[in-house]
Amino acid sequence: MSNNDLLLEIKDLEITYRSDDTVVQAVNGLDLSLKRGETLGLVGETGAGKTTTALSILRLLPERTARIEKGEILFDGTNLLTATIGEMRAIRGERISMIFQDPMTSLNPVLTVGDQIAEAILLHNEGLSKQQVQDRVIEILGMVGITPERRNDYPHQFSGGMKQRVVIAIALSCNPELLIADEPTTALDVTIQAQVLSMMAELKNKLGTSMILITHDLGIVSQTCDNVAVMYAGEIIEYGTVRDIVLKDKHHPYTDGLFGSIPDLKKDTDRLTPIEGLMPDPSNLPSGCKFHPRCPKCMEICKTVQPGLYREGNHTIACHLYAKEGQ
Amino acid sequence: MEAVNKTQTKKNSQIAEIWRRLRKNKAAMIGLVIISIFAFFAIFAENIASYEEFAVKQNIRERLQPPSSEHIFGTDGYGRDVFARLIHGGRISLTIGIVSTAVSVFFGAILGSMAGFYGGKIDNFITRITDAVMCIPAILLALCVASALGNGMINLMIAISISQIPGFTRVIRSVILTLRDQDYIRAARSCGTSDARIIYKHILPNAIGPIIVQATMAISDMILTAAGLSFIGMGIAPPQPEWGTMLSEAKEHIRYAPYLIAFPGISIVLNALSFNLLGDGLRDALDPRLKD
Repeated sequence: MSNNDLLLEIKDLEITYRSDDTVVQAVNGLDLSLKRGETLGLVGETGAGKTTTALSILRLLPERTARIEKGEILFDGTNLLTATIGEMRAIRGERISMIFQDPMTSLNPVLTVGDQIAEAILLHNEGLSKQQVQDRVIEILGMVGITPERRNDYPHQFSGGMKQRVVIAIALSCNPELLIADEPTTALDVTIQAQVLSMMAELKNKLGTSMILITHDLGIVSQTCDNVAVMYAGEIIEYGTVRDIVLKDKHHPYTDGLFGSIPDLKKDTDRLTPIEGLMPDPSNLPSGCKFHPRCPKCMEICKTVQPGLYREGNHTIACHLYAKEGQ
Repeated sequence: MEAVNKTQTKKNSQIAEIWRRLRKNKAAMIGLVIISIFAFFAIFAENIASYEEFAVKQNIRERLQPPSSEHIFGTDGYGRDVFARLIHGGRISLTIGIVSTAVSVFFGAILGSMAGFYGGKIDNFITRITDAVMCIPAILLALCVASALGNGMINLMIAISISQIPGFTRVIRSVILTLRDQDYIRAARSCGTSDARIIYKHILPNAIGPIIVQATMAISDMILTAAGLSFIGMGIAPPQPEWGTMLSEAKEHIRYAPYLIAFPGISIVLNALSFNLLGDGLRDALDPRLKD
């Protein structure tokens, strides 16, 4: 693996949200890397810091409350956290673009979808003539499977799935190198989910885009991702290829819990088996391993000492259970 | 070509929808009709009665005539035709109302969107100044500005606009506060859109409803303020006909020619009322939640 293949590298990222008297530790010392053309799944419960991480890559965190305490986000060698606003604007949309969770609210209701796609194109290709922009809009709409005649319609005239296609079209309009998809299918029903996902996979292959797919749907992860990072309370507790995560036996107890809560088709179960307890309050995180209050295999050491990483090839797990074997 | 036509029909259909809802509101339609009548006379004032001939030329022999077939609203203390002066005055009043509203909306939009969008220090600064200016009664503020700048239509418009800018700044700021954190604004940012472009292209079009409503209401305020300032001699200078000036001139003759005060007074009231009714109707028509 040469360094040139590395598109995105996040080092020791720490983000807090501050309000008057509480400090919410949203992301705590996160390390992550992404190669060109790779799809990374970022999995975890609501509130694990997935979206915060994604937004920090584009520097779109709410300015008033969020603060990046430390860390580096290297995108193709440049540190995004120290880039100027102008540099960021040139990167946003052109080299990194993002698909938001809810297609219902991420399109501007008073502009036609054609205008919104055209705007994204024009922002990064100023010299284009009107005709060229229109041609590109039609081409992109074709790519996501929307007939070009509909480009003069307003978002409210589209269904949810169609809107998400438009959002994807906008995100892909400048052939970005990195696409961040923040739960792109959560707001869609299952049949449309499958359509949208397969379309995204197809486009990704065609354009050679890298992708960070944020989701809490493990089915989607196993279908579309190359690598998976499992997040819990602002940390990555397990990282590996899809094979490592889905097929291997050794897991962080949290990952086991996640998979355990999926009902098995072959067994007749009356109740789901969820992970006991709730996500810890991020303004008051437990000491040691952050998962220890909910962990079925909790040991004495877990309560005080933060676990190191256990490695096996590219598969890493942050848990004391495996610590001894690893060292 | 076909695509262009299609865009046209789409945009029209949205306006048609608003028009359909507005038409159901009787009060608003009455307002609109009255405004249209005044606007019609104001636009064609010169064709109906020459300004030089009837509105400003004094004719002592015909002074203080009651309404008749020759002078349907009678004549004033200098023998000028009241109807001619009314329609020419309407030109000035409506122009002042509409132009100063446009100016106020323009500056209010700039200040309000900056305050709402950026927040923090800029917001504090603009909001504090707005609050301070709003403490001064609008008519008093306009009076100060008008007396500092002197008589004349342009100065009157400047004075009135300044007194109305804080109101617009506030309304636009509050609308933008609710729009700023919408997902599509964040999405626009993630595409690399600049702040100015986000405000102008993504936020303001969404805020157009409240702005139109506030503007329609403000026109009636402006007309009233303009008439008030002219009445006390701070606005339009005689012999130019303006409704407030006409009222002021008529008050000398109030005992034996009360119609002189009635006609300009009724015009002012009708205009102010009509713009208010229309504004109310527009607020309902533009609010999609109140559909049918």
